[in-house]
Amino acid sequence: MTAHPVQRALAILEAVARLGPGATARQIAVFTATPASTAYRLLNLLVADGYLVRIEDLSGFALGRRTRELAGAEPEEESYESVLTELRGRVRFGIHLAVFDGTGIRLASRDPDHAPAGEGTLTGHPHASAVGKIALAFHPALFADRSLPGVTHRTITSPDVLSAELARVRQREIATEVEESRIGRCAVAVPVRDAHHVVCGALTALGGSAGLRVDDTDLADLLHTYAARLAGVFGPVATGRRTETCG
Amino acid sequence: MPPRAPRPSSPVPTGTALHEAIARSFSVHEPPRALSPLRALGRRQLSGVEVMAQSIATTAPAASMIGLPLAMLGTSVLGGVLAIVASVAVMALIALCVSQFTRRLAAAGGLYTFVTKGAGRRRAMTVGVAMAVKYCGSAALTLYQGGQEVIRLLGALGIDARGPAGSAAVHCLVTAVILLVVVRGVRRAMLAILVVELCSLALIVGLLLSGDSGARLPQPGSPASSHATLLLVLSAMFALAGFESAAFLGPEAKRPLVTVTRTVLWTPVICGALFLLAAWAVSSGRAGMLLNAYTGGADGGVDPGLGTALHLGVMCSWLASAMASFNAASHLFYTMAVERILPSPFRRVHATHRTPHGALVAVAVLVCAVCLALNAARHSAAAPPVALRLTVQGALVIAYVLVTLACLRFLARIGESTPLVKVAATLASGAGTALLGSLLFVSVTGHDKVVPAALGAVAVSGVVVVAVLRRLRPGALERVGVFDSAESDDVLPGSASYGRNARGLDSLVRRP
Repeated sequence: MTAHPVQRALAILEAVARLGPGATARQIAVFTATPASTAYRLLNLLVADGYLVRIEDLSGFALGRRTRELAGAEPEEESYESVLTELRGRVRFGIHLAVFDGTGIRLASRDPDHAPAGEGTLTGHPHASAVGKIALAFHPALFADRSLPGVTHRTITSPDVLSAELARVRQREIATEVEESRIGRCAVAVPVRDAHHVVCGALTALGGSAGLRVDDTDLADLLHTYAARLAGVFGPVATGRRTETCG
Repeated sequence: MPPRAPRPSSPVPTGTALHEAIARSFSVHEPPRALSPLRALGRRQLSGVEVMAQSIATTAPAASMIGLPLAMLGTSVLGGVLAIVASVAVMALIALCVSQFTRRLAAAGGLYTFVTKGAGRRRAMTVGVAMAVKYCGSAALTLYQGGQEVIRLLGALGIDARGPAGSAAVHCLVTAVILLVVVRGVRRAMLAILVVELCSLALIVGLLLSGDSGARLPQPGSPASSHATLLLVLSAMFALAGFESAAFLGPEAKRPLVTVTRTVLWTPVICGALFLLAAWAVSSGRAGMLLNAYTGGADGGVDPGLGTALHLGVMCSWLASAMASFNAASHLFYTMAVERILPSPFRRVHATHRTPHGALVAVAVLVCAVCLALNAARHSAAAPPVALRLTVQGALVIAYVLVTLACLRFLARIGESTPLVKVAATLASGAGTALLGSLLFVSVTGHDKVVPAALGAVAVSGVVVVAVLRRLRPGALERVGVFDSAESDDVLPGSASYGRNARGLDSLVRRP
């Protein structure tokens, strides 16, 4: 029996959905009873058009986001990247998104036009960065018993001063950093919440000391507006790690 | 927000796993996890035409359509035509092998990254070195030739830049202009170059078709070599080479797996057809007008303005090829820097134009130095850079042979081999090896020690580079093979498994 190419393509997508992420081309060909060379050709076409994606080692497949279009589903809701791209177009600072997971702070989206220098300091010394202060303020248990080394001469190294600073961060929902993680750099960060209103990340603007004013209320308002939009995009973080980090 | 489901009219039947996965995707919200390591270059920007322009510019068919007929003057007509047919056939087989990679991954490292996926780190490093030699050498040669054309045209305008200082200044200026253009983004430049290339080709094809079959052909500049046919095969292969340069732009292309593959497969066919037209014109004597106009031969009736127009077209063709080689080499170096094989300055990306300007500056300095050395050698009446040309050609053949072998192993590893590709890869690697052997034979019999030594160095470079990296940057070896891997935003939410890759970053993995 000769199947129509569209039927074959749908059968291949169904096979990937059934076999799960990482299904190999050979498994898919067997599952759909498609000749191997035809299956390989269709798989490459489906990947090229975004209906499937290849996993990192290239030997298997997972469903691509465009399968929603194939199913006649409604248009995509806005993605976190589209929200960030819009914000990046409105300011001249580097806009980055950090998420807090089981291992600590991770930069989930870096501004491609303003690569963050000293990323290790941003995520590794939370008391020295605006992003880290958000994490410390809302998830103190994550960073208990940590020392407070001076990264620059302006880093807060006194536990009392830091406690007062974190109380202000919790109250105002905004954290700032003036040459504390790197000389010549300032930053403003605001918390990003998930659908359960739990802080699960931070949206930050990084810039030079000469250009970025940490008391710029317009910038703070802008960051808060976009952080609220990101909350709608993130929804509940669907990983088991959320409970141990954000819960 | 209530979860949304596929519409009832959707072609995906309810109750299927696909239907459930799509419905589930609307209620799953994952933070961004997997990101492409090459996203700094700007994903999904270049159109298919711009990708094609990169390959066509690298191949420089307008310049080759004059160069090949001139090379054919030293061979028998039948031998020349057969040499070009054989070259086209071999290149088409190699293109088929390369397309097996371009259908499956987009990589700014081009053939180098492809070989990491199929033939291991040592062979990949050999290809990396070979491609660096090829593209930097090719850029230097085309920049030098383009610079000579600029000097000639300046002379026609009454500006004498033939002296050592003048010609060096022209080459430096041309390098600076090319660097400026490629740093600012090669998109518009490539489109302009494509138009100029097509105009030059139209002029050349017009001259070939309207040429008088009785016209006298110019005499060959040098006595016919006993290996003239073999050298013509190498020249034709080198003229066709460059089709793979589209692969370097994969991560920036809009539909990379389609547009790059199409370009890789069609460029050698289109250029091969043009070269065959040139070969036919030589065999039928119609190339006389074209060659006399270009060489300024004594054959009467050739308008000097036509010669100037031809030189202008050839100049654009050479400089476009240099620009495309800059682009390709910089992407190769950028990839190696992302893998931490090269130092971090090579990893710099321009904040606005998203071009790897750190690597581009390095390529420009290197290429300009080689170009100035060629320029100085010419002024001291040394031999033309045949050794450099043969080394570049040989390095390219080494890379091609290894990529054909990698193709076989890569497809076997991912379980997607087909008999057709197996046959094509075996034939292509055999032909490539034979060609490499012939090249060495010609060099050795010609008492040339530079080319065999240089190619030997390229061949063992992989072993040496891996040994050095093991000592100096052991982490880098784990990172090789960086490509434009799928991002979380490309995946249907809730339909992927994530794990840490060798670079310690989240990536898509098989479900455990």
